[in-house]
Amino acid sequence: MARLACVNVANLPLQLLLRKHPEWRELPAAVVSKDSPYGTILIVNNRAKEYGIEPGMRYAGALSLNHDLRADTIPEETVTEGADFLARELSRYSPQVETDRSEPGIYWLEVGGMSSLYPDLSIWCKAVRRCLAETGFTAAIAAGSTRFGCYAAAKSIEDQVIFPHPRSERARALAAGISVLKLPAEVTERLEMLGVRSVASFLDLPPGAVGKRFGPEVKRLHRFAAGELDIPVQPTVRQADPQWTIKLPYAELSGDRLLDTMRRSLDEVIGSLRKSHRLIRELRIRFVLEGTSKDSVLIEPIQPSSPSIDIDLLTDLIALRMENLRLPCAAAAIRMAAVTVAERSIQSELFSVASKESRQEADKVLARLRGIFGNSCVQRAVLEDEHIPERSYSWEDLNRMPWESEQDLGAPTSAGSAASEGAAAGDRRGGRGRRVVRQAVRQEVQQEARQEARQAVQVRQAVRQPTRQAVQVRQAVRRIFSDPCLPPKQGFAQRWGPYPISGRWWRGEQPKDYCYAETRTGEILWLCSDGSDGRWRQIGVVE
Amino acid sequence: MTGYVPLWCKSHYSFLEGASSPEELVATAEALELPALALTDRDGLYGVVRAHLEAKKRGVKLIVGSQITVNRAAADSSSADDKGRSTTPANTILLLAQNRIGYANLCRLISAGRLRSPKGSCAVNWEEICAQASGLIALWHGEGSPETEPRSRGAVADLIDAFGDRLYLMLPRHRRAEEGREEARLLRAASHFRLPAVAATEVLYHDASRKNLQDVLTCIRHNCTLDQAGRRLKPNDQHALKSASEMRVLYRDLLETDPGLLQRSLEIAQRCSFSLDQIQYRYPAEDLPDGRSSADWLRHLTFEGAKKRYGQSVPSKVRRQLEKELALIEELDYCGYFLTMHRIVQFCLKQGILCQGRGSAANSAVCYCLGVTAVDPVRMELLFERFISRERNEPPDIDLDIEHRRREEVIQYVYDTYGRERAAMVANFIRYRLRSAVRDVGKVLGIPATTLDRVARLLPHYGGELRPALEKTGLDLANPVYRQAAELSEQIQDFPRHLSIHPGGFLLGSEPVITFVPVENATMPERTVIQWDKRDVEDMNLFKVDLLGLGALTQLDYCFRLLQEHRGIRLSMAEVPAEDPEVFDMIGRADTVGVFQIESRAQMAMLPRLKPRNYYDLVVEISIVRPGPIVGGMVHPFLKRRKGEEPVEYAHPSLVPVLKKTLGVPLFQEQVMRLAMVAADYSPGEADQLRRDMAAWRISGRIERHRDKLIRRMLAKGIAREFAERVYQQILGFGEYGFPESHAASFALIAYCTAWMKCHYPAEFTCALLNAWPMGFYAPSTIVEDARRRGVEVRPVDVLISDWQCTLEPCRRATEDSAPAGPPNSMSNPNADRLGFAVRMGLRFVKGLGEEDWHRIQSYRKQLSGKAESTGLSVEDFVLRTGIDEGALAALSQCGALSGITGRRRDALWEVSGAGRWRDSERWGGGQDEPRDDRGDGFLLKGEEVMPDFSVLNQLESIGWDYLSTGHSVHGHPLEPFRKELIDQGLPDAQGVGRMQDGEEVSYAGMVICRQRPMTAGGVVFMTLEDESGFVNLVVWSTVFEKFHKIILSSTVLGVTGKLQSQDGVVHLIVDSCWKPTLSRSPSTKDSRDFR
Repeated sequence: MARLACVNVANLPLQLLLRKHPEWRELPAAVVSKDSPYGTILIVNNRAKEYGIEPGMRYAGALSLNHDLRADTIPEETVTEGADFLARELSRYSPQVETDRSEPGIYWLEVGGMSSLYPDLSIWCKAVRRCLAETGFTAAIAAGSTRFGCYAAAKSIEDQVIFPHPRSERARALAAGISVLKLPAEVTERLEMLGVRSVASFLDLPPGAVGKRFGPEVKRLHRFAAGELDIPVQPTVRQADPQWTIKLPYAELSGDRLLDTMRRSLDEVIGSLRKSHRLIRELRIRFVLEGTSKDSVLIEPIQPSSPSIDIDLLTDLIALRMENLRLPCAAAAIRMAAVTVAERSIQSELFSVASKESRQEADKVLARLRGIFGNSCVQRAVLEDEHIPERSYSWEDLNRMPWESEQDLGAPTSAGSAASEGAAAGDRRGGRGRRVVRQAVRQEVQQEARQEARQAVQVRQAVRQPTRQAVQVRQAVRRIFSDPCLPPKQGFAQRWGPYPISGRWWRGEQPKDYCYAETRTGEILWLCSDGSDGRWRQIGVVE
Repeated sequence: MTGYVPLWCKSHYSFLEGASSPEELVATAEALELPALALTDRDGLYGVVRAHLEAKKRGVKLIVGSQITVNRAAADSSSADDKGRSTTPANTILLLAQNRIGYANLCRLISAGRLRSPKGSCAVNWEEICAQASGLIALWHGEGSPETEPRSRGAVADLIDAFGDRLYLMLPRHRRAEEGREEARLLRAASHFRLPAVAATEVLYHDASRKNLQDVLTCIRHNCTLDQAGRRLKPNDQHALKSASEMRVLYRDLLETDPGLLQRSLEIAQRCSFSLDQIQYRYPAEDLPDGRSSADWLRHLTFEGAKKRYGQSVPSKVRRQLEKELALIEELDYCGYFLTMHRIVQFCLKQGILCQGRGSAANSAVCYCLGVTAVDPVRMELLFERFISRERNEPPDIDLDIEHRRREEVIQYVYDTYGRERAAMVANFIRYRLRSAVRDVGKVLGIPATTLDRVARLLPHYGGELRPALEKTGLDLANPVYRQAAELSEQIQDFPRHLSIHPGGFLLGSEPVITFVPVENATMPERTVIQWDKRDVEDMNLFKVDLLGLGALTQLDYCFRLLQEHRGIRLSMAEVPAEDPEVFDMIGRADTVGVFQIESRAQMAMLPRLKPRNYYDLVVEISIVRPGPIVGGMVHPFLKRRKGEEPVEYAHPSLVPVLKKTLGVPLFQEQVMRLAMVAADYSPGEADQLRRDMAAWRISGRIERHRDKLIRRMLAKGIAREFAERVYQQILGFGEYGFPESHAASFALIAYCTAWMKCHYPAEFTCALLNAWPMGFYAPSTIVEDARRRGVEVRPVDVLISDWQCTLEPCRRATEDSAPAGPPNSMSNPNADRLGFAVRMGLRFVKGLGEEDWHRIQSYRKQLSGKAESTGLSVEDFVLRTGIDEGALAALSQCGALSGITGRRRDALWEVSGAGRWRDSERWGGGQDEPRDDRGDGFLLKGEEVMPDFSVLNQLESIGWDYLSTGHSVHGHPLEPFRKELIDQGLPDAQGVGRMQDGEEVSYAGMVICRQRPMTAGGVVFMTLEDESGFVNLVVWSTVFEKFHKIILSSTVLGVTGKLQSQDGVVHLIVDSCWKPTLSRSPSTKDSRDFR
């Protein structure tokens, strides 16, 4: 007789809410559909129930019953993440764990082989519940021989139950209320009005008539309750991403030999990944140095231009990364880990019109640049909706070329001008407002070079010669320093401004003054003062 | 004039943009020694009256203007989106009124832009501006000026042609680095077009400290948080009002090349001579027959009306009163106003719309004769000798109450009669109060909405403090976000948020209204509204006609129609027999559920004490249960004096004429004003100011300034300090909600009429009340229960019988002289012989059923009309023929409305279940086009399905299903099935409680129908519990409430133990403890009326 268990982490969103806000455990609390007084209450804790607060009420209405009611939203992704986390925890107690995606918090576990590890199934149940409790969750567990029997029991208890015989399991299931079934609320309500309150009386209804009135899903539940859908546990917890350690027969310092060893090892891993239709998105490599297990060198993760299991490509990228690597001493072991993603169907790519080859080549070039100079070496400027000049743009890593619009590629622009262009356009982070700056390939400046270059020129705009009017009409090329410095002491021939900018007062920022100043040599400086010491600092020049 | 004049100032009437009030701007202008100030709110003149009054007070010259949104494509519908908003970018120009013509043009221009645009937006085009240029000075500036347009040169040339030397180029400076470019462009343009330039900054607040608030307002306008706002916020705080010296520093470099830059602002100010005082308002003259004058025609109509009211020989007392009133009306030139009221009332009469005037002028003999009111001031001894104040020089006050379901007809009649140009509704500014402020400000600061809701719930609707509420909800004020929220929420108090519409105020003018105030669209279709509110209209001495909706008149109209239809009795409000002792007996017993104005719990508690015996007693009753007299401590002295337990004394002989009617105790708003005039020698003007401040004290605390003056002057007159203090307290109370005698007099008539109907024709009364619902204080369930207790048979909804509304059906039992139907404990009904009819509940009470469904049911019934009764009827057939949606079908099944088709409610519910799912398939031809699967996944073939054996509903379930589907039950009260259980537990019913002795310890269980915590009661909660025999009123002290609040707030059936307080027939249970009654099952629930 097959044995299985049903684990019910009841009201999972509420449990997640109370993990997020542990200070709410002693207060009435609810999960709401949206952060608004008109948000619908989805789940409430027992303290809230005591005040008559029920799911379905508006938050504002519930608040009139108790002013202490706390509420927050729990997004679907959070619930899914929480459910996946629990599944991983449960996988420590059964080789086969099935997550019920339609009802987060319900898990099916194969417990047939547990007798060798746990002399008594009740001990296994306790261990599982203890494990979940340590992570902040409470769960009920029912172990038996049928899916519905275990499910109905797990939904109607708060601790654990083990059914030794199918007969007792069935009797208990039939006596359970229909609330154990995941029926839509309106169906439950309708059935209760009709006097159908137990699973047994639900099963008395003709299945065809149930389907006609309440739809195929309710009919499926009818069949489920009738025991017609008793299938074995379908494991849903996938194998973890591969992590492996290569113990070298003797300490090795040679990059070529280390690379060769890694290639062979990676080839084996790729073989198994190929079977499970997964691709490597990122490779992490750590060299454990000789003589100690603690000292190690972690190289920057290696990211192919697109997820891949191409051994040549991956080896090439590892080789590029290792070209600049100087290990302090020989490595005794190599620890490798791969972050994988599911292989995507290539059908959609068949419809792609643009030249895939050139795109891939470009992406490969970027990947190679990252391989040589580090993952943050290729960046692009993103315009920010800010008045403060230093915050009117930011840099973000450019991991692959943005191919959405060919025009974007041909239009280098400055943060300043585009910022003013788009002032009314609102948030420029999304889509259209982005501009690729062709000059944005920023090389890692060597240590010695940093001192002489105040910082790389990042923002450019082709305009006129720097004249006074150019400053006034704000059409000048500006060089923004990343680190402000004191201006030359020679004094100024002329100054424009100050132009005060308030900044984010709600975050405690103080206003700043900006101005332009022309030196006696005709250089126009861009100055800023935050008023803290009454001094101006140079934040750039006008070219 | 010297210095400089700010020409571009926007107050908080530029909604969610300006961050200071017009008063603050004017006061700061005075402090900065600025000789004048231009108020130029965006596309409107909303704040000019307030600024005008303040400027007059402070001696600052006010220039009236507006920042007008210009859109090249305005008036071109092809460039508008589907909501009517223009899709082309908008520019702006400042227009300042030079003289009265210019002001009228400005009003016309704004009205044109507003009326063609959806609410909240406005756009005119350059051509329209040029066409209305006369009398206006134009300042154009910055981005979006005509120069940037394709026809730029032409547009500027047009402006120069239209405005000539009245066109200036405005050079704004706000210390923004990018302004340099724009300024250079403008200077080039000024040079090219030879336009004089003038310095002007955009003023959005009077002081730089309001910068943060202005940012918050910007975020509210854009519906974003401060973190998201980015460049939508102004970059700095350079939008405050500046002094002349600050302006000289700001424009120092430009002044070197153009020294007249600031001087020109003074020149513009001098050229603008317009003041709002120049508006000459005249009330519209009516079209009069035979070339008669208004006064002649009014006299004619009045005496014609008098003959109808009093017969051919009008009593001399009435004639004298009429002559006196007519003379005053003519002297003050108010004839047109009275004729308008007469005209509207005549329209109502012709259309069969019930209406009733009220207000000081309404309760005049003239209004009675004109039919404006049915209150006979002679018969009622309500001769208001000062019904119109000659001294106060204020417009007469008549509010016309109209049955609420037909008010729109009257409003549209006024629009049609006077035209949209001469008639517009008065605005109402929706302003920030603490609750709305904390919600909007908190949202902008990124505080979660649920947290804000918790805070807001702890705040009173008016007044109150935010910081304690924040602390009470556990929010730490040391956290800068909450501290900022508190500060900014306090600052934003009283700011107008948006324009709404006054409940019924109309402004009528002999000239087009749009020549003295702009008109715009309201949200409601077919409504136009002026840009001034009631207070502005009053301050400008404009006439307002109030047309208000009143549910009680709808109810009375229904009553009169039912009487005529079923009994052939024609009746009107004026014809209802007066001073009926039987009616006053009923009122004295507080048997007043559904009786207008005297049905609330508090009124019911007062009725047995006051025991009204005549019409004027009702006037007092209506006025006395108000916060004014309660807070002023006037209730108990009045009751004692009335019962003779306390001598009637006056603090000063001069007060006798004022207070004689109310036994020396001031109860009415008019008395308080007259008290101020008589006791404190207030001038008519001061008394009028007092009245206004009384109405607005919650908002601004302006009443405080009267305290010293009132008390000092009363003491000087020899009035005791204690009385003087009491008078002041009462004024405060009246600020909360005082009631004028003139209004109470009109309401008392409606109250008496409804009470008379309830007393003599309870079936008609109940039927009409249910049909007029929602209105009044009670839910349909309580109205039905009350009717049943009075012996009225109420019949359930039935799809084969019921109409949409409730109807009357002959009552067999009554006509057979049998005892009236009712529950076992129903009170004996002295009017049983007058019943004769039962009330059939209408389908409108079935939840989820719409009028469209009613029409389908009607056509279904027509299809059945040929068939023998109940032959071959099936639920499936009903479902298919009517096409009613599943939710409404379920409700019909639950309330038993399908019992004429199928016997049992559960069977009906099962049959309609999934109707939305299977109906379409049945319509497809029963499986011919779509093969049906009898194995389960598809649909069963007709006739193949076996009806499951559902249990029959018991009484408890029947009542529960009734409440669920219709909100009431004609089968009994939800507690009726539990009576035996409750008796076994030693718990009496409501009637039993009523028979108990004062001071007795009582335990009682009932259904909660009302929870109230009046602001005037110091935290005491008043509750009403109900069972099948009546009500029990509870008083829960704040300490008891705190202890038991969980159970009080969450229980629908509540058990209470306490001490009975029974005095003068008023019974209250003073609660000591609350508990949950032990019942075998849960009773069905009904909605309670909570904390309104």
